Amino acid sequence: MYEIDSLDLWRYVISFTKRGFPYTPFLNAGYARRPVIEPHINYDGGDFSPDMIISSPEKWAIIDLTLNPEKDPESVSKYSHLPKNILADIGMKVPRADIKSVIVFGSDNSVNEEKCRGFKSAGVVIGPDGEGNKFYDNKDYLQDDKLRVEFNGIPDSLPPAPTSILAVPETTGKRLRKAIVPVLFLYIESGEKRTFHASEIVTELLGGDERIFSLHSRQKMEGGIRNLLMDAMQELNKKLKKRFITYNQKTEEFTIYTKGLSRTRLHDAITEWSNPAKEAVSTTLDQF
Amino acid sequence: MTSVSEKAINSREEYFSVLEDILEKNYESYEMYGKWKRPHIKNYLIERNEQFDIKKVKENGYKILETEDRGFFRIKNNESENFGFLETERDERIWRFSSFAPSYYSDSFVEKWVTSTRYLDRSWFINSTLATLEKRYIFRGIGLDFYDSLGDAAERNRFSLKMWTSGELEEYQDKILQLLKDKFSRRSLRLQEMEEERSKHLFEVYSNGKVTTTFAKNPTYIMNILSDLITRYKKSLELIEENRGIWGGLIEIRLSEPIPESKLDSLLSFFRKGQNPFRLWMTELEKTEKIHRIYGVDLHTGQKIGLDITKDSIWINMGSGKDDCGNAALRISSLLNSYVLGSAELYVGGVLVV
Repeated sequence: MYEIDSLDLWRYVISFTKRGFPYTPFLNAGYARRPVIEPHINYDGGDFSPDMIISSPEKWAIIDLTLNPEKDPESVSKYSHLPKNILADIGMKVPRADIKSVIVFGSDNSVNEEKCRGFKSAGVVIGPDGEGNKFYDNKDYLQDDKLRVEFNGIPDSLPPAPTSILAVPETTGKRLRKAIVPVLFLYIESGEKRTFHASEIVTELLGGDERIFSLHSRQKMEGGIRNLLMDAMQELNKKLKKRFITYNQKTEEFTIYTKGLSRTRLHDAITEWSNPAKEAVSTTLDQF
Repeated sequence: MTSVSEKAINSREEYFSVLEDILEKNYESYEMYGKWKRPHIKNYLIERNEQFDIKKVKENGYKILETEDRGFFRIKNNESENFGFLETERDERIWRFSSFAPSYYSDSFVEKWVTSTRYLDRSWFINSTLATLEKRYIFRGIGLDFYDSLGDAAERNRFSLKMWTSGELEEYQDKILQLLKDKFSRRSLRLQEMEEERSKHLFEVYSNGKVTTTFAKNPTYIMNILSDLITRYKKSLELIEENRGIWGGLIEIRLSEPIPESKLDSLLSFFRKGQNPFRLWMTELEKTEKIHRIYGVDLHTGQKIGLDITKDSIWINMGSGKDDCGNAALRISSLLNSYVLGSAELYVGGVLVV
């Protein structure tokens, strides 16, 4: 069954903070401060890596995203013990009051009433194409009434979410290939020769923000991107009949050479590489 | 090409003196005959990013020469010592190029220079900005220019219209005007300033940042309107740039009429080649029934930019770096007004940009 993938799910969660998007529950409930994505928290001897934390002067919320139907409830329920002052450890302001909420976003397969009981959280289901959305309340763990009102009013159908980011750590396959193309365009436009490391592409895919997603996630992305660039090097050098991409094993850097190549030629060759006929669009199930 | 002065103008003072002379003759002539004698004064507002260095401009049939005044440059070409003047000190982001030469020459110069130079762009006055100006000054005319070049070549139509008036519109004239404004966006506006029932300033503002002064009582009138436009434009840029990045508000062009699928394909072919006037080099990320995501580079600054095209709107995704220039949103919005029917208004974080 087709369901929303992790990139689209992230895009919806990000768009809920975006002023001007038709549905902005976080903003409407007062969470106007900049969210933190994938912070690493150490508390009481335990490690915690929620997907996102949002806050306001009075309250805060821990947000997790999952498409994994087998997700261990304990991986989320442990957040219920976290006190507000841990925000100080991740560079966030500590809210005055301790109104805390835990919300899990996912699909019909990964989030339902029973699972939310296990997660000790409320749940929001975003359907494919933003349709068939649902809200599972859990008063003990969703302490913010304003946010409750917002999610009770989640429309059955949402418009698509803005692109915001080009990939997330779970993005693979054709979708990742396509995401890399605009970054290659960017490097092509920067001059006749451009040397870069795969980690720079990661930053570009994540909206140019070096602070979002954990180091672990970024490294995971970096590995996938390096492999794809190796593939691009093979295929594009052949297709363009010249040395277009090279790789320096010592420095682990790639270099792009564009002399004598028109934008149209490059566009067509790279787009063709990013769109292999046989490979289906796929993303892995999230493991977080 | 007519040269207004044999002698090279080498300071702001000399420039203003020539400007006053032209304006005085035109004003007298207009008062007496309802006509003007000398060429109109053309000003072009040019958006310039910090990285642009005027010292590195390669000569290309013209020379940019320093004058006695810092930040005030004279542009000389083969025909004229005083082809134009560039004011870079008044505002470091929005530069002012002015010329006494006929539009044919000055338009062509600005088009070639600005659109082929990284970190320079025109200032793009979007429909809602022009609508605001229309209310602020006395309306004396409108220009519409609809290219329809995205349509099928055989069915392609170009609709161009200039409507001028010297007084209040009759009821039927106003009806025609409203009908046109519902369907098309403003390409230019002719506006007037009056004092004690006498005309003091007649000028035309174009969506591509050009301002033509037909006559003005003195240079102050011209400088005031340019200052007003620069202030408005910078406010729009600030609003857009505050909302860049993942956590910024939505930068959205709301379309009153959806772009037909066939035209969307033509629009994408502009982007595939990185062609003017959009200055975007893009590739398709994803196409579904609800959304068409395209992403690539803004050739004005060489920064990443994305467009999400839905039935009712276009969302502009840009990075939050200091080099990610908000001018792209104004450029795309303004140009779409010439290529798609109906209005294409720019909203940032849900607020209409005016």
